[in-house]
Amino acid sequence: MSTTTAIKPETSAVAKNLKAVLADSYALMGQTHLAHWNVEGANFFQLHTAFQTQYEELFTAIDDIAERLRALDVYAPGGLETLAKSSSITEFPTGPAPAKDFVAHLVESHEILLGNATALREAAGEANDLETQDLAIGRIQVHQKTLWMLKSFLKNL
Amino acid sequence: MSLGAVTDWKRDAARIVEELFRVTSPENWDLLLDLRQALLAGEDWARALDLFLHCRVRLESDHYLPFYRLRRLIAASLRLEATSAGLQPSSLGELLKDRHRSLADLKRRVRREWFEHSEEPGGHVSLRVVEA
Repeated sequence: MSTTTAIKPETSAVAKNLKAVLADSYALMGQTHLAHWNVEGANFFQLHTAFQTQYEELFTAIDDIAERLRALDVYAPGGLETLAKSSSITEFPTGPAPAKDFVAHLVESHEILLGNATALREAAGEANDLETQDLAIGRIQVHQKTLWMLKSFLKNL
Repeated sequence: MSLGAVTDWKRDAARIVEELFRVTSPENWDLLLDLRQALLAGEDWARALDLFLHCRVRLESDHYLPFYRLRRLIAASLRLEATSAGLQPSSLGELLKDRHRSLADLKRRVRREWFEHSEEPGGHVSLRVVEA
């Protein structure tokens, strides 16, 4: 089966959703990096390493998302100020906090991104843009898996 | 109480409490019901905060995420107010990082902080819980 990737204008639903996923992924990468630096307590080594794995994965994904925008002939938004304005992810305050608070904050952020990536998957499907849909499905899988891991950490068994 | 009058944060908080009924044992339900009602009524914030602290001590270790969400909503929507104009308690966000057992316990922490920073009030100063 052949797939067609129509070139979409700046205002298409696919482009809008790609930009939302890009901005929130960037914000989440920053928040995960912050957690990597500032987490403290008995689980420090475990969380410090896990957060590094997560922000490195996000760094690679952000490049793929931005380059998908370019492939659709849409300019990728960039810069901390621009991306922060477009993101719906809140910032974790700087300072001492229980390690579980860092994890809970990241759970909420991954849930936001899961919602955005799902909206992107739907928009791409409607536009018959299977390549973007494939990218969205990949992001959904990553966020679902990370949510499973983070939520498992919060369980008290 | 009309439902239309209930602001979003109270509804969101009540919804989080409602979800806890599914995952907690029945002996906690009376306390959770009281908390839900206090949040929706919005008439006695001291009681609502006290109930939240009691529920938190009892349930947070097994249900960290809902209590984190509740804590953030409460910290953003309520604040402590001293009757003496010159005294300012720490923000609820800061105070709720520690797991206080009750509102009385939390108030003792505020008074201890004032004492440690040489801000102990001369006369009796009461602390009220008000909507931010």
